Amino acid sequence: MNSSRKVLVADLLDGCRRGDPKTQELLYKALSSKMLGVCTRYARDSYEAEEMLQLGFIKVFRKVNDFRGDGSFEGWIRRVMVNTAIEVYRKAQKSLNLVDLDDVHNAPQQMFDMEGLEVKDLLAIVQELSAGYRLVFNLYAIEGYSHKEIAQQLGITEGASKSQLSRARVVLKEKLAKLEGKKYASNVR
Amino acid sequence: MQAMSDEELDRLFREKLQSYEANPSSRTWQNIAMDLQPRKSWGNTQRRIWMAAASVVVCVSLGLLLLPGKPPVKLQASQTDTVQPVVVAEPVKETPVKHREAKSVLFLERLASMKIEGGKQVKKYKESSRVISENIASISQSHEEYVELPVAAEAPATDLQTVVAPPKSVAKQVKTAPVLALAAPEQQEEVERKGKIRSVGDIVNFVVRQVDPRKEKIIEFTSDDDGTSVSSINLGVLRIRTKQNDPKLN
Repeated sequence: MNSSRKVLVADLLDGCRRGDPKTQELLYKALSSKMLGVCTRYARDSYEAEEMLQLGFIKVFRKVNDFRGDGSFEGWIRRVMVNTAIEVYRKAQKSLNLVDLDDVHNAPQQMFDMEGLEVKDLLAIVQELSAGYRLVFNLYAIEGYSHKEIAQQLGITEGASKSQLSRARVVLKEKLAKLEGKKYASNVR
Repeated sequence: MQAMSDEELDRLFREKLQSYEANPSSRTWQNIAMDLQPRKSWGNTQRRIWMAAASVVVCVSLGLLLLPGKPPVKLQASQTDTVQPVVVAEPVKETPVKHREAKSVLFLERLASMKIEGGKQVKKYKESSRVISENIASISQSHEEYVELPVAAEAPATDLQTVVAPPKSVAKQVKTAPVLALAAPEQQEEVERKGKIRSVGDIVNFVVRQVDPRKEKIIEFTSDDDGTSVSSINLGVLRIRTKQNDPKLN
């Protein structure tokens, strides 16, 4: 399964480098669901997620010759998607204050039952975050970027990255608690 | 229920969301394909524009190359019909040059064969020219090819009068009367002349004769003892002709 997939990706890469439309469509069909999952985490809603996916794939097809073969093609496409999300954020940054005004200091520690949480709920909570929090949390917690990398990518200081992350975490915990409370309430009824 | 650390929170979201997938709407691919297509079509139109420009350049340069070459092609097609008249109409100017050995003989023969004022005297001169030719032929054996009239005057006294007299009278009348060349002897000369190419000028003359059917060629060379020189140029509007080559003087 794994080897056949590698061969497939190599074939698609070759066709994409030649600019073959059929191969481009095949690659899109093979990876669009996975990449839309990535974009959804960075977007505030499904519309923005699809917009990011569209921009990301256009970039993939236009810059496919930049892929040197270091690492997997899929991993490279995934990085293109993340970078697209960062670009979308930076374009919107002009009208957006990175340090959100949510007052979340001194929030009380929440208690959670993690087993009962569904992906859809978690995704909705992340999407509700402000753009800056969402971006830093995604890059650090899910993609595994360091604060230094995040600072370089977003053009902010490492301290600002750490601050954004900690505030994002506080908001997420609050939202999880609310979610748990609703579920508990619905179960009691 | 338990208190959640930052690491636990991160792991929870990472585990649940990292492998999250969602199906995009069909419109997304259509938008991507449309976005990729215009670049291709623009590339195609650019290529077409370049192709058109290149073909125009090729056509223009071919036209420039071939246009000046058209007239010679036409002339060559009609060559078979026109060659013979050309040979007949060829001026006799080159005759003495190419046949040095019989130079004086031919000169006198030609003088004798000229038609003067209705041709009444032609026969008479022809007869006398034969006599002259015979005499001069005997003289030219001893004096080789450089026999001229003054030298001929040193010949025996009996022959001297016949030798000297006719050219003088002919020369006087040539100045006043138009001259027409007789075809028959000159055709022979022309054939001989074609066969003997002794200089570059002769080669050019030969080529020009093949190409240019006009009486006055585009360029013509004359070879004499001093060497080869351009005797006439005919560019249609511009005609240059050296004096020695002027038919009026011949």
